Amino acid sequence: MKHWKIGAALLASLTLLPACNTGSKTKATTPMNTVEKANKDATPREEWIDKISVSDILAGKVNVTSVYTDKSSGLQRIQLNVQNDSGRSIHVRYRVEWFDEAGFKLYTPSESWNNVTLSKGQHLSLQANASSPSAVDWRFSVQESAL
Amino acid sequence: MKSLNYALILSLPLLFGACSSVERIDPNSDDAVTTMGVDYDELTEWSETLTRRMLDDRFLDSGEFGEQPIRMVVSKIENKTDLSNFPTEVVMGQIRASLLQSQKVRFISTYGDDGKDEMTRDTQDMVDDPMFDSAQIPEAGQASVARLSLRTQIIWQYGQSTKAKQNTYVVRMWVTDVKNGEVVWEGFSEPIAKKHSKGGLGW
Repeated sequence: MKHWKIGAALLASLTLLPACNTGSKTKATTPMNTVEKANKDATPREEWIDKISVSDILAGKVNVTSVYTDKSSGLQRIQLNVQNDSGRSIHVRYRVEWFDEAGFKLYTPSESWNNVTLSKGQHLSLQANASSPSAVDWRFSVQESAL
Repeated sequence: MKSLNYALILSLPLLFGACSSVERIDPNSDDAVTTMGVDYDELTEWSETLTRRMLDDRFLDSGEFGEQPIRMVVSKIENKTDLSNFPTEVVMGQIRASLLQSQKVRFISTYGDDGKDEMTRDTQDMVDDPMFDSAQIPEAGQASVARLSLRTQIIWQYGQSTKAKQNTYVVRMWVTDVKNGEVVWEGFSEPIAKKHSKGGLGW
């Protein structure tokens, strides 16, 4: 009877052990301070933006502070300047989709979700290039990721 | 003793009872498997970054290599990682497709190390074959020669401590002007780093 109890307890405890040998990408969790010029020499073309927020987790945490655009090479490129106001380190993935003059989404061969870790308080510039000269509009999406 | 055996048998489903299942997932989502190597979404991320860095540099717009689209050939792709079957075609294919779409570059498929197509040469070889209408065979000497060459290395760095090991992968690319052998652009992808921590117990 004693053996029965020990055996059952042993097996039950084994089933409760977590699967812990997992691979992971590196994580940065250190808060970050930033210093930059007060009077900037760069003269970016700033874009007005509309924000659509559906995630309470991200709303007010990953803030797009400004968006710069440029088409001097014939291909549209954008830079989204974001800031992590969440008070903690946060892993996000983002994607930029491109649209032609008719509003149709363009096929982008290397369209991907890019993963990035934003440390507490970090400012970061996220960039994307359209691969087609037909691109005139864009849409930026961001979501929290496990990394 | 008999009851112990019963307990063992009855507990087996608890250990191995998880039914296996197959489901289609978004390779870019958190559902995707994270391995110690380079995963599919990371290959795409590399392609996007490298294409952007190449286009941002503006060397293709300098006019130095003739009119656009500039002819480019894919040179050697060196896999210097621990992964023997590294899918370089995913990275190269997406970079090629993006550059082609930009209308700044056109790739040569008659020679090179990726995206080769023997049909241009095979079509020329048909000129003396009575089976074909020789008038439809393109005139000899029309195949393009690349002005730029795209060379790639996939680099791996391994690090280990007593409690963890880390794989770091990065792609290095450079473009050479074959007219004079000068490197006109060179860039790196963002590094992909994976850490594996040893667990105390578990599987």
